[in-house]
Amino acid sequence: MTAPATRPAAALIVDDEPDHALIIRHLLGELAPGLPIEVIGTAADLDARLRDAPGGALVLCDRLLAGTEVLPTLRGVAGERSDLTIALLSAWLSDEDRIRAMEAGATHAAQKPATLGEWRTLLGDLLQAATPA
Amino acid sequence: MPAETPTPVAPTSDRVEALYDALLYVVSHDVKSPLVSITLGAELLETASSGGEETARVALDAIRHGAKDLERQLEAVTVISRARRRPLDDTPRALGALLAEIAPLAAPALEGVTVAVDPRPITELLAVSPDPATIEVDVRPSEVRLVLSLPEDTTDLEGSPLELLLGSLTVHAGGTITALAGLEAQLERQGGALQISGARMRLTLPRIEAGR
Repeated sequence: MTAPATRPAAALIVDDEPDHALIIRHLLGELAPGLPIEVIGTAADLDARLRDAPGGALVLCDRLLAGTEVLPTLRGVAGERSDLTIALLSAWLSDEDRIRAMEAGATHAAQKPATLGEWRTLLGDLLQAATPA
Repeated sequence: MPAETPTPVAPTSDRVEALYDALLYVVSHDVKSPLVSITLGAELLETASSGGEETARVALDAIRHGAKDLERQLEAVTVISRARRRPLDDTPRALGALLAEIAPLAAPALEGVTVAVDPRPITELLAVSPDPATIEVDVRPSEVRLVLSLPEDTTDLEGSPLELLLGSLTVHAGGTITALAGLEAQLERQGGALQISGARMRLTLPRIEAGR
């Protein structure tokens, strides 16, 4: 008998801040040991890599990659990959930014937390949201 | 023919307002990222005793990189601050004489061209160019334009270096754009302008009547 899925198939961390990516990866490793995790640090081939993401993956995406807004890319990908759970994260997000993110196809939008406890809570919630029912 | 006396071109209030907005946004947004790295790294370090060597390494890397990035960004803001406060000498001087040593071939085209611009930002701009001797000169009735090559890291960039820097400290702090932005701020104070495009910069200086 196959055990029920208790986490998404994979997680993609899209962040040009290597430290943030490393810490998120570390925390995901704590919360979901063994979860396949991929880190994407540039906007160069982001579109193709998101389109090729494993089915049902959780995407944690920084809003700016080297000064480039990712929302246009997310809009294109989200239209074709409704199976992905896409969370837009940023050091600072206004209410308008959140609305724009949701309109672009993100399922979640949040400011990057400043404490590990808040990060664990946020990532736990996102892992749960991306877990198949 | 004597050059017309230009009205000093002070930055418009719209531009000042836009730059002010951009500065506040970029400082509040970009500076927060390295601060988050440092804060999380420190917190992670506290748990390192239970998390092991790998956790400690991640934590220390985050603190080190965050601190370095913060320093880089604040240094870029300092460059702009110094450019805004630097005392500038607007004594009229012959531009040809100013450039004679660096770009002797340009000197004949600049005969009779007088500017009231501090020479230091101009010579510092020339120093940014990898090949200042190939300067192109375009003398117009009210202004003179100097076109120079730039290092390759600016190839894909276009516009005002100051606006580019204030568009993203994360991307541009510490590079050629930071140096150019500081020099642009000084030129603007004296009625000049600086734009870059395709690894070239165009420096515009207002002419004044000789003998002012």
